[in-house]
This record gives sequence, C-alpha cells and structure tokens, in this order.
Amino acid sequence: MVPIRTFVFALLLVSTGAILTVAMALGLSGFDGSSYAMPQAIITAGERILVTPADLIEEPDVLPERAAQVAFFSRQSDLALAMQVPGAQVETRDATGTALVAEVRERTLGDLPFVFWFQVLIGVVSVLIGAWVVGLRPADWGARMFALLGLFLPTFAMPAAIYSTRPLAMDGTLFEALSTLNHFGACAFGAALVCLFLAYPRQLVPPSIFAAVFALTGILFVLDVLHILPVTIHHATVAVQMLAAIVAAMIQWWLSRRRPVDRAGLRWFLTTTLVGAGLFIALRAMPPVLGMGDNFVISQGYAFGLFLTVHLGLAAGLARYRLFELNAFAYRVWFWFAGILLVLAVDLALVVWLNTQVWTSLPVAIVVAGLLYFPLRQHVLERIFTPKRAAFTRSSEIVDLVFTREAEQRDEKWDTLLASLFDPLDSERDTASPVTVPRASSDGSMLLVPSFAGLDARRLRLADRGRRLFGPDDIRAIDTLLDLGRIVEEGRAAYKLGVVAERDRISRDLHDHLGAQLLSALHTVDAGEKDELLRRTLSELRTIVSEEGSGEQSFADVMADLRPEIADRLSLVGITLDYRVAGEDALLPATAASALRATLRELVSNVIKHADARVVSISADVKDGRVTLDVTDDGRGFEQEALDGPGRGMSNLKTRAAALGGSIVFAPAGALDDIAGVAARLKFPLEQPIAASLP
Amino acid sequence: MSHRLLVIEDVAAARDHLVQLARRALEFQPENIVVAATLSQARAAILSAVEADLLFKMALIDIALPDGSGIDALRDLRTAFPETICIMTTVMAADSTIVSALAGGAQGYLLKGQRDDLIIRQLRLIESGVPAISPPIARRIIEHFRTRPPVSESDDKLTPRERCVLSVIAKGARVADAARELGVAETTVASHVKSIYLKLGVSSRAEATLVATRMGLVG
Repeated sequence: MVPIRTFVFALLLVSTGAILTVAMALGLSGFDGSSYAMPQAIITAGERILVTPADLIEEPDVLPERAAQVAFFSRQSDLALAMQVPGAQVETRDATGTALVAEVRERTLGDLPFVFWFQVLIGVVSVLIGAWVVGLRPADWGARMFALLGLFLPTFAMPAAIYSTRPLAMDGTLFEALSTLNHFGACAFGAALVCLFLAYPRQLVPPSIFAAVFALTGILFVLDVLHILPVTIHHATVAVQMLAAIVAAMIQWWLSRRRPVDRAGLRWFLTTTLVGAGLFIALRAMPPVLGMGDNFVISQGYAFGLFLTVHLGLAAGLARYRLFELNAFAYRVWFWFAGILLVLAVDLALVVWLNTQVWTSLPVAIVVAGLLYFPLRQHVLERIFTPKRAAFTRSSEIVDLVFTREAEQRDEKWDTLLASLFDPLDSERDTASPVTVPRASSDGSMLLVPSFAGLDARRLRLADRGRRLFGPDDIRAIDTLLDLGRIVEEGRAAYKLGVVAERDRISRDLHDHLGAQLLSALHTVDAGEKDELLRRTLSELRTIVSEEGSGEQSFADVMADLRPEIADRLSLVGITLDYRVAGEDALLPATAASALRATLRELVSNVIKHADARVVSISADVKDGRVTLDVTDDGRGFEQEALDGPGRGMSNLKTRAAALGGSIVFAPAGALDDIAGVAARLKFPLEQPIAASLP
Repeated sequence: MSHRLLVIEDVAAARDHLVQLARRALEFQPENIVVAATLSQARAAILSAVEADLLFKMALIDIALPDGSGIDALRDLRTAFPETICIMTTVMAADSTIVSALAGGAQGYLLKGQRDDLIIRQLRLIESGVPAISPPIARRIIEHFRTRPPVSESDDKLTPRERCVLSVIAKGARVADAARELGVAETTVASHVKSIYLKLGVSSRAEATLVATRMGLVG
C-alpha cells in the first residue's frame, strides 16, 4: 500500500512541522488583548518605550531596502528584550480607543489568532494532498512536482505564521532566520510550479531541466540571502517564476487542443492556479510595488490560502474527471481524515474561543460532528459513490436485445444502448479484443466492453461526448448490465436447447409408438379390433403431444390416468373394478410409461373379450426399483382363455415386456383355493435398457 | 326448454358421427340440430338463433377450428345463451387447452377418439349435471390454484372440500368413485366440480385483470 505509506509519512512530517510552529509561536512573550488591541508602548521599571506602526508590520519583505530591514530586526530585538524585563507591561488601545495596560506573560494556545491557525492548516492540507497524489502516481513527474508544491507551501507559510502574528515583537535573529526560511519556501514553491507545468499533463522536458530550474532558483536564493547584490532580488525571482509557469501552462494548453483528456484536467488545474496565484499577486505583491506600503487588502496569512486553491482545484479535477484511476478507497482516506480533523478542530476552537474546560467541549464537539458533519458526509459519500447511470433501469432493453434474432439488429441495439448509457465521442467494434471483463484504459479515455451474446467487443472513447472520462462507476454499470444480459442469454440458450430436445422426443415417440401401432391397425382384418387399435393410437398421440408426455412421467400419475378409462370400459360390460396402487412413487421413462399403458389396456381388453368375469383386480406396486403389475380376474380361467386363443395380443404383451427389460407371466388365479380366473403379472425394472422400444 | 343442439366440427365424418351419438344419447330430433363447420359459420348460427329467440340446450364445440379457436365460439355462446350446456370436443388437445376452455365456461369435454358407448355415457352424465373431469385435468387445476398470483377476492379460492374432491379425482377416481370414497352423494361431488370450474373462470378473469392492472392497461 504505497499510497497509504506515503500519506502516513507526510502526515507525520507535516504534524512535526505544525507542532514546531506552534511551539515557537508559544515561545514568544504575550499579553492580554494581543490579538485585537493595538499596542502603544512597553512599560518597564520607570521606562516607557513607544511602539510605532513600523514595529507592527507583518512582513519585513515590504521594507524596500536592506538597511531598513537590518534596522527593523535590531529594533525588534530591543523591544523583545524590553518585554522580557520582569514586571514589564504593554499599554494598548482597542478599537474604541480605550487605553489598557496589560502584564507581559507567557503566551497560551488561546492567544494564537485565527490567521495563525489558518496558515498552519493550509500547510497541513497542501502536504497531504500532495502526498496523496504522488502516492497514487509515484512515477509521474507531474505528480512529483505537485507533491513538492505541497511540501513547499508550509515551508513559506508556517515561518510566516509565526512572525506575522507575533505579539508586538520577537528576537530579531530568529525573525530573520524565519524570514529567510520563508523566502526559501517561496522560491522553491515557484520552482516547483514552473516544473509542474513543464511536466503536466505532458512532460515537455527531460528531468535534468527540472534540476536546472531548482539549481538556478537556489543560486538566486543564495545570492539574496548573502546580500551580495546591492538590491533585494527575492521578489523579482518569484515574479519571474510566476511568469515562466504561466508561459509553460499556456504551451501545455495549446498542446492539449486535440487531447480532451489532457485538457479536461488542465482546465481545472490551470484555472485554479492562475486564479490563486493571480489573486495573491494582486492582493499582496502589487500594493508595495504601487507604493501602497504595508496597507494590504488582506492579511498575508489569509493570502497564502490562495495558493491552496491550486491543490483544491486539482483535487476537484481528480474527483470530477477521474484523472487517474482512483478508486473509492482513495477518496475515503480524505473523509476519514476530515472526520478526525473536524472533531479536533471543533474541540480546539471551543477550547480557545469559549475558554471552557476540555471535558465540557468534547461532548459539544461530538454533537456538532454527529448532527452536522456525519449526515453531510453521508450525503457527499452517496453523491460521489452512487453510480449516476443505474444499469438496472436498462434491464428491459438488454432482455429485448438478447432476444433479437437478427444479428445486425442486435448490433444496432447494443450500440444504441451503449450510446444512451455513456454518450461516447465514438464507438468502434473490436473483433480481436482480448477483454473478458469491462475495464477502462488507464487514463479513463476508453471503456473496453467485452464481447457478449455473440456481439463483438466495443471500444468506447470519452464519455458524454468527450466531456467526461470513464471511471469505476461506469465499469460497475456496464458490468451489471452484462451480468444481466448473460443470465438472460443463458436462459434463452437453455430454452432453445429445450425446444430442440422436445422436438427430438416427439419425433422419436411418434416413430417408436405410433408407427408400430398404426402398422398393426393396418394389417388387422377384424373391424372392431382395428378400431380399438386406432383409438389406442389416438390416445397415445394425445399423451405424446400433451405436456404430461414429456420426458419422465410419474408412475402414480400414469396409473391414475388409466383408472377412469378402465373403470368406464369395465362398467359398460358390468364388471367391477378393484384398483390399487401401492409403494413409493417413481419416475418412468416415456417409453416405459407408454408400454405400461399399452400392456394394461391389452390385459383389460382380454378380460372383457374372453374371461366372462365379474370382478377384475388391478394392483400395481413399485419396490426396490422394480414395478410389479398384477391383473387378476375371476373369469373362466387360463385354459379356456388359451383355447380361445390369445393370438397376437399375447405375443405383443410378451414382446413389450421383453423390451422393458422385464417379463410377463400368466397363471391360474385360483390355483390354491379352486377359484377360476387368470392372474397376469408384469414385472420390469425402472432402470430401462437403452434401446427400449415397442414392436 | 327447447331441445336444440349445436354441433361445431370441421371434419364432416366426425361431425356426422357426433350428431349420431348425440341423437342416440339424448334423443335430439334432426330438425333441432344445427351444425357449423367453421368459427364464422358457428357465429352466424348463434346470431340467427339469437334473432329467432331459439336457444340451444347443448353445444358440442371442436377446440381446433380451421378459422379460429373453438374457445372463441364458446365465449360467444356463453354471452348469447348462458344456459346452454357447452361441451368442448377434441381429438388430442393438450390438457392445458382443455383447462382454459373449462375456465371459459365449458361444462365438460369429450375426447373424440373414445369408444361410442363411452361418449354416449359421458354425454348423458354431463346432461344430467355431472361435469366431465379427468385425473390430469384435476392435477392441472390444483397446480393452477397453487401457483397463480394472490388475488384478494375470496370467491375464487378453493374450499378445503373442493380441494379434497380434486385430489381424489387426481388419483384416478371418477365422480361416482369420488362420491363413494368421500361418503357423499354423487350430486354433491358434481356440484363441487362445477363450483371449481366456476372459480377457475373467476380466477382466470381476476388473473387477467391483475396482469392488465400491473401492465398499466387498467386503472
């Protein structure tokens, strides 16, 4: 997890810097009212040193000459020493003009003004944003320069925070050192900005040029610090850097005219950079040049915040345009961080402003965070992470597409659907695409849609007619749609397969059963017998075409369906039926079911024709994978029946039983107790021989 | 009540045969028998009967007609003469088709391939108020009431007694056998079966309405 490691490292680094800054600010001598009242004089034992407006300037850079600066720092040392005399007091005058005298004392956290915290905060945020980006794109020179930009912002902002919010005075040597550090940060920030626009979005120069830019800046900085030159060149250095950065940015802008991806990112970045830097120059750098002295529109500390817009602008660009393939996790880091920060900030603010006890402000912080921040955060999270194009609303279209028969129409419908989802700049078919899951190209300019349901893969370029890049949401949307489409496609394929299987079954059944039965009917001379055969054929035909005849049939159902028919036939000739089905139910293959029906009907016919019976008992049983069917009558008995001649009927019965892999036997029903009649027993296994078919 | 019969059947030989069987079973007079070979002929016959105010006691309707479905003829007939006993005839229609005809208001059905004496017996039974039903049809009806979407109307649900009758018939009992097995009169079982057919029609209509409502066609 390189991004996390970089982030944590940056967090530690910038925290150290921030703590050091706060510690140094607390080391200065303070007094009541230092943040709002104007100091007039320092009063020590019998001595009264008047404070002039020139002593209170925020930034020594505004002094035009080196000599004035030297004098300023020396005077600051004098004032700071005077304040350290025991019993020293500061006379102040507030906004209403009321004079007050306050004891000089140690500074506390509550004495530090808001503008101090503001500068510390922008320093922290800029470092973290820089670390976040470089963590995600460690090899990218643009990201590296962006991270340096983030690193150098606190380098100039934090020292300035200390001295620009000093309560009246601080040691001149420390002041000058901090001022030098501020200069160093500002020069380095400028150099990083130039290099950034040389590297982003396209790297225009080799890395050695970056080194040269920093080296040149370094030389100018050293020359300025050593005061070798007769004039201060710090402001000139920064101005030249700004100009160079703007020129480089313009070149980038021109180069990106045919690259919407570059331009999308650059537009945000450039706008925020120029607005931020431009406003800083207008509000802070121009007044001294125009001879307005220290009379600035806004405090320098707040003006530094303008540089942070560069960072925030890029962060917005990242979120909006998916400049890099950042997953939801990358953003969540910020929400966690912001959550912690908000709790701390609210707590600290309450400590400072309300000057209350820590134990009362913490619950307030929790309430504020709970009632305001967390609902807000939830809302923001949902807006960012909920896919805007809900794929499931397109389910009917994908189903329609899968069921479209014409390949050309399918392709058309797929293109239309993709176009309505993403509105890409263009879309092309890719027959050789190796992509099996949808994915976006690394810069988000392409969405690769895998081939699906016999359709070619698609390569979509730039969403929303080039206004947007493809991101994780788009991939999720198309993934959901493809999943749905595949399920439908599988269902359709299975259905098609089922249709084919059903057709096979019908044709096989027609051949096996009906062919043979019709042939028998054709060669039967007796009209009654012929009719009977034809009726059975019709009945079988109905079974084959009806849904119940498909595949395997329940043994119990087959037996149930035969019962009313047999009962009706027997009752017409005055024979009573005793019908029993026992044992567990079992599934019979269609051929076995058909053979069972034919056998039972034939046996009943025999009884009606020959037996002169009063009662027929039919009992069926399935046990241990074997079917046993007994048909017993109380008629004239086997010998008479045999004399009458079972004829073809009997031989058909035996052939059928053999085809079922079973047997049929006839015995006198009353062999033991002297009752006449015939008992027929058909037995066959549920596991059918492979080529079971009827004669 | 006039003793008139309507026979709708496209195969001439089968039509003549059905007329013969109906005459033998229920003593229809030749002058009281109207035949139609197609759906359009059947509609014309129904129309002229309406105009002449001569209702039919019974109608034998072939499910598969050359120019349409006998179920359409059934619907027309039910509208024109609600009293007519409508019997669907078929050689090999699937059970599901027969069930939908029963839901459309038919009192019974005949399988035309059966022996003459069986057909005559069934015609007499139906005429005397015993509706035709078979095990596979009973199973289909049970399935229908089990799987159809829930509809709030209470008059299209089967009573426990009706479910009991259906399950006995599904196992192979005829109406008379079911009466014996359940220890009730044959007319009781018959009225249960008729009530089941009626509910089948109600539930089919309710289902159709439900589907239509869901698709936004109604309401």
